[in-house]
Amino acid sequence: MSAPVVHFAGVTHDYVTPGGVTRALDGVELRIESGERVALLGPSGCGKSTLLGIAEGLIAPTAGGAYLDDVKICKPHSDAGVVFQKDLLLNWKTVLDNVLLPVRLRKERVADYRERALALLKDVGLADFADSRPTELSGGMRQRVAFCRALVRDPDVLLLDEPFGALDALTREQINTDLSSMMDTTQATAVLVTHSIEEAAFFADRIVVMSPRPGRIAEEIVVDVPRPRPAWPTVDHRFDEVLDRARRAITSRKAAA
Amino acid sequence: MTDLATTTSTAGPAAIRPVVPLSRMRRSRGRKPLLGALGVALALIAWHLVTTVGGVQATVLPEPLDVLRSLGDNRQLLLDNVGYTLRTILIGFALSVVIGVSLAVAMRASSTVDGLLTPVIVGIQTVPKIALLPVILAWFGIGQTSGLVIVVLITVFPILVNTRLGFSGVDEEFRSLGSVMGGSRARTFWTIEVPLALPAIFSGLEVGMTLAVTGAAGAEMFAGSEGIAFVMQVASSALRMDMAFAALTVLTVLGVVLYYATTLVAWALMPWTRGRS
Repeated sequence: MSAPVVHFAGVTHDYVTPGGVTRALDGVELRIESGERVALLGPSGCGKSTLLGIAEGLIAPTAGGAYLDDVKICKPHSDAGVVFQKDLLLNWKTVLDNVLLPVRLRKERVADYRERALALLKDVGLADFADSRPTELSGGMRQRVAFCRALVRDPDVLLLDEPFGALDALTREQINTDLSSMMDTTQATAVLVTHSIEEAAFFADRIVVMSPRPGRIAEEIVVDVPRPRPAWPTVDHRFDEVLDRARRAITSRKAAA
Repeated sequence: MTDLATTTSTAGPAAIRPVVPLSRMRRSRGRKPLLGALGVALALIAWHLVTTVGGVQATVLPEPLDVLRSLGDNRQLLLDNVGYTLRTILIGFALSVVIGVSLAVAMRASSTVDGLLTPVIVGIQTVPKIALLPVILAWFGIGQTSGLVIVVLITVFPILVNTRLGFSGVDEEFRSLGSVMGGSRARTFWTIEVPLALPAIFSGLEVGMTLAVTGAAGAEMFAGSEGIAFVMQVASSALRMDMAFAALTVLTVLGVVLYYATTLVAWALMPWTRGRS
């Protein structure tokens, strides 16, 4: 079975605030092909996280909708692996049990996924920490556990909501490299929300630049650099043009605003 | 938020565990109980001096040594009565935990229940429980039932309020996490939210336990025919201050033991919160 197409069809979303109604998304039309990796890039307030929330089924849009293949997403669904900005690990469970949490929540047989969970932890260099508590880990290590948790049921869709947002720059680079090797093991359709141009270029097949108030798609940039992508984009000249275009797309919007 | 604080402070692969100088940990650990014992000893010496050199009468304040003698002489009487009081406290406390936690869970599960109960709870909580004593006495008469009713009335609220606070303090994102991972509302609640709320629940239990002791003692004094506080009441009206203070000592020890037992259960149940605060 191939990974589903994620389709945002005419998505409009309004937030009711004390100051009135704010339009967070305005008729967003975006089709992410099976197995494609898209980065939603933009400044805060451009509605990129709202768009992801709609794909997760946590936010019901004012108009339009998100579809997995042809099925409209109306409520939270567990077809997707999700990573949030906060790691949201459960400190009373071991690292391994945290990775297995989605299995437990769905009342599936934990034994069936144990091997996979351990293999994922090994991939991110945390094999020795399977029986540790999350409180013993650094922030970067904790976020790696959160990635393993998202991947444990081998989802066909990955929704990553600024997963590196709370980490320092050095840790971010390291985890990005780890993530890319983890991503080599999955064929999932993936959406990454980020405000880092380098992260977007490194991760994505296509960067979708969004502009704020109201959230719209400003520009789409295809990242034509084949995988595997060993080096971080700032030291690899194949990324130069992509980075340059993305930077200009964001700054010209800012100047206009 | 605490997660964020602990993780940023230990960021970097080298610093896996929080670093506290071992020597300092050992010293402060060893010193604290010693200082505590010294404090108690000093207080006892001061008490002794007030009653001997200070010339305060034994019908007002007995000598500590007389209290000790009275403790020995009335061993059986005190033990029997403290047993009665302990039963009132433990049964009342258990009832309060069941009622308080179930109500908090029901209020978390249904906003209708929450809306219905909130004003009632605030209302009952505001009534001074002591003012209810005559009513309770009229309804349930003198004896253990009245004692239990008072203990529950006074203990249930801190437990209910803290448990509710614990649930509402759970980061909304954890509920999102549960639902995007395919957990039903109930399963997410029991697997994720309840453990997250446990520290708050236990702070309610700790407050509740000290109030249960107070409630049981108060009930025995005004509506009792047995119990350690009843003994105290009878002894002091007979001006047998040594015996009243002996009973008071037993009651104090009981309160302290029960409080620490509660914190010990919290410590044993929540290993992940150790070493913070």
